[in-house]
Amino acid sequence: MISSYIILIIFLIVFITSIIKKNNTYTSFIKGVKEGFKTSLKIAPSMFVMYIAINLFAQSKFIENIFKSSKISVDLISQGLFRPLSSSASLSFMIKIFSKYGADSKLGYISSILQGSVDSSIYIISYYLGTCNIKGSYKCILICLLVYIIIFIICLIIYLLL
Amino acid sequence: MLFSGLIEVAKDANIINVLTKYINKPLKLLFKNIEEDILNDISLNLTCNFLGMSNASISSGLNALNKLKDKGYNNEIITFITLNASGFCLIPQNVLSIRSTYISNSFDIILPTFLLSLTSFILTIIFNKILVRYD
Repeated sequence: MISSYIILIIFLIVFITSIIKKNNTYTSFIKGVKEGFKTSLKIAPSMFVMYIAINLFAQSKFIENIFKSSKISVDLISQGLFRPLSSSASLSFMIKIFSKYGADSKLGYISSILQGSVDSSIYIISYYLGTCNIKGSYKCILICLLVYIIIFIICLIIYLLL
Repeated sequence: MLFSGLIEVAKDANIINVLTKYINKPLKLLFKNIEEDILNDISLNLTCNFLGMSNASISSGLNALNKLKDKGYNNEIITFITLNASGFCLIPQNVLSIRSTYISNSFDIILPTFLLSLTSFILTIIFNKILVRYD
């Protein structure tokens, strides 16, 4: 219950404090929105390219054919492979698991933990570095992949132990 | 866009300054010799990520990155981006909202999710320290 209201609560707190302090709330809000529009125009090209590439890969069912005969469910493995690349692709695999096995099941539990506890790290790195034109990003990707692999293995261990 | 408006309002009402003052102290241990204004941008970005408003964090993150790039702090760039990408989050909102459409008792994942994302945050810091030392 609380989690669905938290954004609204944050908004209300900020706006009420601003009104109490007698600032120009509306003017500064519009100014911020303008800046956000500029930022989203700036990052749009690199986001667009990543989005197209990942969706091409996700729609082709390449991974599902490789891991057809594994012990752990194919959907969990493909969710795990797509999690650092794209939130929406791995979210669609999570919904697939929910409707196939139920959200109450062991698989549904593990896949929601996996979806919630890490972020789409490679995606974030690529759009930050692509927008700011910084080179030599292999160290960032190395660190994030190592951390992600450890988290994924912990998730698989929990799944096998439960 | 909506969230960057919210951030602007919060900046004008002095809320951001109060919040970042508490976060700057532990962040100074990670980013040792950088200026105060870059540190403010970094702590604003990490706070937004922690509260789950990753859209609001983008503009302050880009600001901080551009400043770091101009000053030539290469190791700090790596630390900042990896901390940002580690996804340390208080409540996973979209997972919870999807999960609550399937079952009624959907809050059992909050504690394990928080513990795992804390683990990934700490691991990111450790790997950063190792990489900086052996470089």
